[in-house]
Amino acid sequence: MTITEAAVALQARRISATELTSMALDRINKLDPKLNAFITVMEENARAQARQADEELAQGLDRSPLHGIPVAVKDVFSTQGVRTTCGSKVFADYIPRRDAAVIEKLKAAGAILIGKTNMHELAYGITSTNPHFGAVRNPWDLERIPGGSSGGSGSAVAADMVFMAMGSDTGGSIRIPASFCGTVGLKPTFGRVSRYGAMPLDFSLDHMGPLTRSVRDAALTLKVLAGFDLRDDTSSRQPVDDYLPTEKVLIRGLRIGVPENFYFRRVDPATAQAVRQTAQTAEALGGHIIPVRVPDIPAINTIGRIILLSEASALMERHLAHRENFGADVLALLDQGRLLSAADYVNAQRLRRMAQQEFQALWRHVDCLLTPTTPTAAPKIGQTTVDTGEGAEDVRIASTRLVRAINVLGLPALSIPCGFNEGGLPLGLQIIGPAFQEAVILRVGAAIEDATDYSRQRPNLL
Amino acid sequence: LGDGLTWLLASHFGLKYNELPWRAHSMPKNWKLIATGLNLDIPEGDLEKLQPVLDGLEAALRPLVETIPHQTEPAIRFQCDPEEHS
Repeated sequence: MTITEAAVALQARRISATELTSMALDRINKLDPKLNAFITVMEENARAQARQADEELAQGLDRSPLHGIPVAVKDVFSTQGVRTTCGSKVFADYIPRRDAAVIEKLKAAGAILIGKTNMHELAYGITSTNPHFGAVRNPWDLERIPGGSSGGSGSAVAADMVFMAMGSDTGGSIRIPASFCGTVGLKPTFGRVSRYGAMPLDFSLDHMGPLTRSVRDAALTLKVLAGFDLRDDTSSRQPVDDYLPTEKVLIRGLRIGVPENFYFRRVDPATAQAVRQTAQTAEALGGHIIPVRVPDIPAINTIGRIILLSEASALMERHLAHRENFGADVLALLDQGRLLSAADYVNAQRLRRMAQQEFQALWRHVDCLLTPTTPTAAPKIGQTTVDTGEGAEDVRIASTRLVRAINVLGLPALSIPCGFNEGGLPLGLQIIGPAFQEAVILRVGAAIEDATDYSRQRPNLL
Repeated sequence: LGDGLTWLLASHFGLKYNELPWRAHSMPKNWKLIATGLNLDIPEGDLEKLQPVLDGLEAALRPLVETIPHQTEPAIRFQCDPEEHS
């Protein structure tokens, strides 16, 4: 069941928020011992919120399409009075005094907050094999990673524990778990969703967005979350669109760019074939598929790595006196950042401006880009390299290779399921749009989703 | 050779700046010395593991830096009036 379907059932009184919440908690109780998707389950809070949601519905008050819907948030989002760990030993006992802007908006929309999801330590990695809270597992294959850093959110949505789980994305951390777990993941434009109260990893690259079971669910969640927030210096005053694609959404005449360079190199054949096949589907729906050459993505990835290493190390420097508090992979990244020079950081930010201007020209020719999200399906837990047929590549570099640049550019990007490999693992496709054109990429995603059935397939966990 | 002449030669031969023979082997940074100079408490074994990664990053970044026009400002904003942002 999707949010859209559950909202209809709630309005028709065929089901109550209390029942939906009980179902979500039962499923978490059954499956989380296997998946380890949650750090904190807020059972009492959730049941109380659900009762309130039902009372309001009975009085005719329907706050939003999320009213009465069980959701979860990555443990980066500050929750008043509820522990917020950021997946880190450093913040293991941190209890915020205020809610993050995202939490405020979800509460105001009537959503039921079921719990806080597990993640890669400090949101600084893509495996979600957390040394302090345990490895999150992929519902499609328990021996595999769910991706990260929003791995618990991907796992919880794919396993039908919650209808939507919030993630954060600094170098692919919403889209990678969406790709590996077979869910939808939306990284909005930088500035579209307030970062206030979300524990930062990188001030200029962090984006907040939902992982959901369908594109329309991502769209209606964005509508709830989007908007200006004075408390976030990077928040945008751009008007909030109506993101929800219509029931019989059309993409006739839309110019969909498929990169000729970079994006299909070092990609496993199953993924490349699934994305190209989806492009054909989009063409059959009336979209114009336009081969394009994209700017130098490896260069933009380098810029992104310099910025991330520098900003994350600046942020965590005061905690580094206690090296034992960090996992080895995160510590190595924090050390790298401390060794870079201030000049390198400033130059990376200057190069970022140049890359943004160069990419801007692309949007004169196409309305969106269609690429693979990750070059492979989910790797195994503990696997350090992947091989797409052109030699071994570090899992972390490979998994972020097709997504990181989009954080540097701040553009909106949507990952949707586009097929399965021969091992039955989901594959992901990325739709990238111009700044603040979330409505366009959601429209394309919904049209593809309507024409295929990949989003509706579920792992067999019970 | 000065930067201007280097650019001219690079464009004349259809090469990228750092593909010119005298630019191709830029001096690698001594990360150990940098760590010592900055008084960073990174154990030597950890530092050794970081070296190839940092060398790779440096090799990727340096040619890009050469392409930045002098007047390009960083993509970082600061505003005195917090009400005026965005």
